[in-house]
Amino acid sequence: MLRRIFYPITLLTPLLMAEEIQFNRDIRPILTTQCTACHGGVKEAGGISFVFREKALAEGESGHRTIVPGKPEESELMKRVTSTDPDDIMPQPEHGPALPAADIEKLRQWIAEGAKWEEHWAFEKPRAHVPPTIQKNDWPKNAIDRFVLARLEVEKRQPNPEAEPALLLRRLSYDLIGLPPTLPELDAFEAACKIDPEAAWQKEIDRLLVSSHYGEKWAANWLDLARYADTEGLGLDRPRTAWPYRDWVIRAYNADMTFDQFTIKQLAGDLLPNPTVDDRIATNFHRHTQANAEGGTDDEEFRVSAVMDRVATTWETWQGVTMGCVQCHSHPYDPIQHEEYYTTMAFFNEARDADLDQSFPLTPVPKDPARNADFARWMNERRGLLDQLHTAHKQLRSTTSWKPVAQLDASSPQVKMEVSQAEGNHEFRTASNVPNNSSFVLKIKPSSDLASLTALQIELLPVDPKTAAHTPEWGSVLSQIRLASTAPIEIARVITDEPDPFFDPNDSLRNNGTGWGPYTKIDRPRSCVLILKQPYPLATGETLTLTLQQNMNAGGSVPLVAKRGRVFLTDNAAWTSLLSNPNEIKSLARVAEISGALAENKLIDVPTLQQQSSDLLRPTHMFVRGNWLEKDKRIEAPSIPGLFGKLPDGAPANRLGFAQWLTSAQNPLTARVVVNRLWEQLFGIGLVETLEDFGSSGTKPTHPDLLDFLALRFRDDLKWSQKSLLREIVSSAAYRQSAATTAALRAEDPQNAHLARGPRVRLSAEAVRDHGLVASGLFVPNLFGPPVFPPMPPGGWTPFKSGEKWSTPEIGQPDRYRRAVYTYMKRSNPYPGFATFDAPPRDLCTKRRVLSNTPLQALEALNSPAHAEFAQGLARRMKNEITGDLAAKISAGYRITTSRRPAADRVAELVSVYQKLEADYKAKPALMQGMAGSPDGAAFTVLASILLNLDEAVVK
Amino acid sequence: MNPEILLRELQQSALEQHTRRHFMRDCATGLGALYLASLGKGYALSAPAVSPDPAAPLLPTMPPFSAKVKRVIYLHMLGAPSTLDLFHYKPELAKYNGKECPKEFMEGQRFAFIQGVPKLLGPQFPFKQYGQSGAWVSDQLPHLSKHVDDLTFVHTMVTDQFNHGPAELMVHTGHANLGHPSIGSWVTWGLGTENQDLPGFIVLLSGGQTPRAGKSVWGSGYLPSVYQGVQCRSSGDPVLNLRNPAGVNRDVRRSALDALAQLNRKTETEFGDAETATRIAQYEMAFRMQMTAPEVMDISRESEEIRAMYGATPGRESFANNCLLARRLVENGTRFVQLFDWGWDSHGSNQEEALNIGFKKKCQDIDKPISALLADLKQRGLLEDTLVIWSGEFGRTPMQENRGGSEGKFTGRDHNPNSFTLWMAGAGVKPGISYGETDPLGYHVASNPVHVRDFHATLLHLLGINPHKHTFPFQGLNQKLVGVKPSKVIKGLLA
Repeated sequence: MLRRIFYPITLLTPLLMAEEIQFNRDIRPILTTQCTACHGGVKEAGGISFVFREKALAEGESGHRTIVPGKPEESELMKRVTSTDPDDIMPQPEHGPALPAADIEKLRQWIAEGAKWEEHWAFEKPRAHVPPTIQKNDWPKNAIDRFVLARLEVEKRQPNPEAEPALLLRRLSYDLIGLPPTLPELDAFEAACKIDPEAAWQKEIDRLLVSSHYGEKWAANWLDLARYADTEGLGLDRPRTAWPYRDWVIRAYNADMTFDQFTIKQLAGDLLPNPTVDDRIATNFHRHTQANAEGGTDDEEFRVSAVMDRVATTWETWQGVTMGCVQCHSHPYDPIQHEEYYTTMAFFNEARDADLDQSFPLTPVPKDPARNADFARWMNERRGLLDQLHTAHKQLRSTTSWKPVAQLDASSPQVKMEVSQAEGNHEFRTASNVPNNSSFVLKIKPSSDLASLTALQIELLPVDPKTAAHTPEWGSVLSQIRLASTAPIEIARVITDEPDPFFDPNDSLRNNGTGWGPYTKIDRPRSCVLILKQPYPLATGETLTLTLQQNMNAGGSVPLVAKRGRVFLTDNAAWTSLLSNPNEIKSLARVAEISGALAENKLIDVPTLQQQSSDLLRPTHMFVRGNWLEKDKRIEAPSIPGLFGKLPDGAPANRLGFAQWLTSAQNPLTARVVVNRLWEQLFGIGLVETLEDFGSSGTKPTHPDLLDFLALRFRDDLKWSQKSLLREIVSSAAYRQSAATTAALRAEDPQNAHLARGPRVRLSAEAVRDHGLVASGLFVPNLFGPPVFPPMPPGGWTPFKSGEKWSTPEIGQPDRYRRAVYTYMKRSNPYPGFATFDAPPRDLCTKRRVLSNTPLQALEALNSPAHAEFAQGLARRMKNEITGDLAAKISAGYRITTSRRPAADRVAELVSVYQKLEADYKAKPALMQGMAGSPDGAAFTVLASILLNLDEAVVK
Repeated sequence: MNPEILLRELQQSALEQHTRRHFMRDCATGLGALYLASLGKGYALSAPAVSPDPAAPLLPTMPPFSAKVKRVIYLHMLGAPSTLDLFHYKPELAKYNGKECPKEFMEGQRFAFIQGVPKLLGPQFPFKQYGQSGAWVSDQLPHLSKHVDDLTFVHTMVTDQFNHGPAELMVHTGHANLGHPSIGSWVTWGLGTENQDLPGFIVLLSGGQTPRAGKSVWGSGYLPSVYQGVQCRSSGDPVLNLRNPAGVNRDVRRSALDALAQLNRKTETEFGDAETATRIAQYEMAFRMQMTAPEVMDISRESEEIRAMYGATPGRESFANNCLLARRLVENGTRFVQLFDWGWDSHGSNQEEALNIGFKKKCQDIDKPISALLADLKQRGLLEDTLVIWSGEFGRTPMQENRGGSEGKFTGRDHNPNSFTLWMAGAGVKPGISYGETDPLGYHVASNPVHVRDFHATLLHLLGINPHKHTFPFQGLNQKLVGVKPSKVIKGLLA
């Protein structure tokens, strides 16, 4: 249809030619539709690209300048688009017809006017707009309406009248708290509307914005972006303790945490000065990446994949920019270079987590929330002490004179070992397969100039250090270290090359399964120092025996056994005296005390982000065509794409600085993206329809000035308060319009892009359940806590091997009736009722749910055990709680599920079906077994199911 | 209308039309595109070429190109069977049995469980040639060996993944991570299904376990959820929530749906919302599905002779039952039937996973049912437009596994992503051929590799879909089943 009328319209263009050409309006669409497929970010045919101005103005491979500002006649572009030679003309004949004359004219005028370039609208900062003047001045309630009406007046369309109060309150209640209004709430609002509708409306907004259910509704939306789940993904898809993060999100929404803080805490809470427990829990946002605990998995592969997911999720959630394609090549449409994917990946490549079996690093959460402040203080103090100790140890290590061994003999009952000389010392290597539980026996002859021994340094090395630097090898754990001569020599402590290793390095002395080692991968030489309990005098020619037992494996399959290493010795007494150093003793005692207190008072551990210690930071390399095994150039430092300038002044070049940039005034996108997302939740369609893509391939805003107006208002006036922003939007007349329309009007604007009517949208998967809970009277409004297990249809729970149970509480138990947001989310086996109603499996960041309308939804809402129970609950309410005759009971039931008072014809229809059903059940009492104890109870149950399944009941 | 705004809009539309051309020009041929457009939520800026029936998102459409294959039955042996011990005979490997694997075969290889230098393991069962095609089959599949002239063997399948979860996802979604649509979703999104009273994409499980990667291997990923696979069962409710709750029989439900439809029609008049009409139709479809699905899923309706041919027993969950159900489903117009049979991970780490014990039992479980399925489809003429596919998620090494660095008590092989055998039978493929050659040990491909991506391309092509233009926008890419790396239709397999 669009094509058919496109041609005549081009005839109109000369009328506009007097006006100066605007790049974004007039030229970019021509370039994007006609040129960039070959001359863009992916392909730069002939050395020409139209994505960056400097490239467009440069010489192509032909040696001619593509565009010469001010001189169309010298610009190769003009020669090519006007050529009649099939070899020269652009677009080439096989790619499409020649440009329309009007487009050629526009290009000519644009070049003549100096070829002024503009960035794509979304990459320019939002501009301040004064709300436009309009004709119908009695309609607007606030500035939003002036923008909306201005557009409608251009379209010569009228806004719809306001919706009836009951439906208005229903819309508001679902939109702000995700729950329907109750009958008393409806009564109160309808009565108040008769006195002062505006005051009544504002009062409802106030009431709902302070409801503790507000956070539950908005958290559900955010958790789609966070790809929140209660399990890790692949392998056995094991449970992952994440619910404290879900609760953090609910609390953050309820407290109306400003969006800048909300951003910074989730992306970099661990890097804030003296982070609180909540700051750390917030970083669980990026621990929802998929992990794989399947035996034989390469942890590094999944670590890299998690980092890449963090990059994609961050860009899509905060910027509406799609980065996936930039892994392999420059962005096809938007001015983002291939390398810039990796410079932003470098921000995320420094976290310590690595697809480990234990989900390290973890943050302990106290049993008693009143202990939150203690926990934060303890954790920060503990880390401070460990850092101090580490610094001192590092200093001592570097000043110690480490002696190579004079002779080394390596053997093992399980492994063939070899010893060679390298770099002035002897080193051992494995020369055969390394099975689980291997132990190495190292016979060491100290050099003759050592009269005594105070400490040993064990250094483990990658087999191929050069490759390991970017693609690490499997590591090892020394689960028990023993030293002996003719008799055992006692080792007092193990000191390592990182301040706070995941396992206590002294476990290497305890034979409890863990210990020190590069876990699970080794990317550089790693070492530990073994301090002897007291200096050991060495006899001439004495041989020491160092036994390294290695009992750990990765994922139940890969033996974590060292492949290469060496030993150094020292007689430096500073090591043994460290053991009696009062400062050291005091610090260690305090660390132990804190660790004990944390363990004792902890409820649970949550996976969180933590920066890798500075000595062990990983380099970031570009990947060849996105393949992590093929490394390209090394990235020197993390940075944002050049399109966006530089990090704000004073922002550190790490995740924290990146998060600060996202919410700075320099960032053109964050406020727009958030405003647009809230708008979509309320209206069912965003001002930019493609929530996930604000780039050149996304849709343009339907109301660009309104989007910018709201973005600036949100950021600058409302100081990132989402509640304040919501209040302004739901206060508008645009929001309060009736949703009723006709087929003719719908055909004019099927998606309601012009906002000439109110929204009418199906309930979300969560709301479908919550609506049933409230209508049935079964709803238990408890907030927070571990996930819950609502009734599951038979055959709906079939987890792979794990033996995990879906334990639904008995009828009447509170946790059977909790809101949808608390339901256990297992990625490989999501709750079937939610998946049926379009809830995503939360494997990847979901920006927008596309709603479907299917027979399986009907089966779920009519037959599933959960919904059958809702029907029984609503039936009981109609039968027992509601007073009056049958019509009154049915009317109340109708109002419970749809918020409206049914018209007489609808009541009559329902009364008649009720009477028929009651008669049927009387005639066949056996039929109602398992559903109700009496024919009227049975008839009410079926009637309740009808009411719960009405179209009016499942839309908001 | 203000001409400037109009002009701007048209330019915008033209741009969008171009960047979203998958809907309109290049891949809008699929029903899914029309369905999405009909939703009016996000994709209608490119107006659909014809007005679809919004009440029937799975209505069958003609594929973009003429197609030989109308339906697919995919038999996936979870855990990855050792095709070196079934279909891919390597006499050289027998010679080197027990010898250390030569270094040049090991260089640059990543293993799941093998450590260091393992020993070679010859074929574990005697092989013989069968049929006119002379295909080699081991003595573990005596029934199936009679059908080799109907089979198209691909001995050079290659994948990127060597762990089960990611490799299963790779075979069924083209990606190693969760979150991408499965083959059946792509196909039903493109082609709809012939019987509106049954789901278009049905999944049947046997062997007592779901796939490792969970329901994601039949998930719809970023495609609308209506295209996800629907798991059906041969015992209990055939489809989740298909059974009415206690106290509701078919008459009661009919009365309820009649009242519901009456009231919803009033709502439709009042609000003019097209979704209301769709909803009325979906409830009716659900009602029909409640009748149709149990009938189709009831194998006791088959003659005793047919049941015996498959070795099927009503009420049990077995691979044999599922093969018979697969035939009943395609006969009733289901577009894509996906079987998963668990228990093929023959590492040799225990009795069940031993080539010399558990594997033999698994072969017995599938031999007769698959042979019956092929014969039954053939005798009903269904093999002419149905494609049957058999595969695992990767191959197994010609080396004996030495998990944890030492050799186990039982015989087994580790995972091998470098080559494995897949076979097809039925519509569109050349029968009685063996495609591709591996090295003398059956470890790597020597000639004519068929990457999983090439297999996907070939499968979509057989269904009349252009694999490179069947795309959906997500995360900044026009996502495809075949992914972004090069892939091609393997012409040598086509009839």
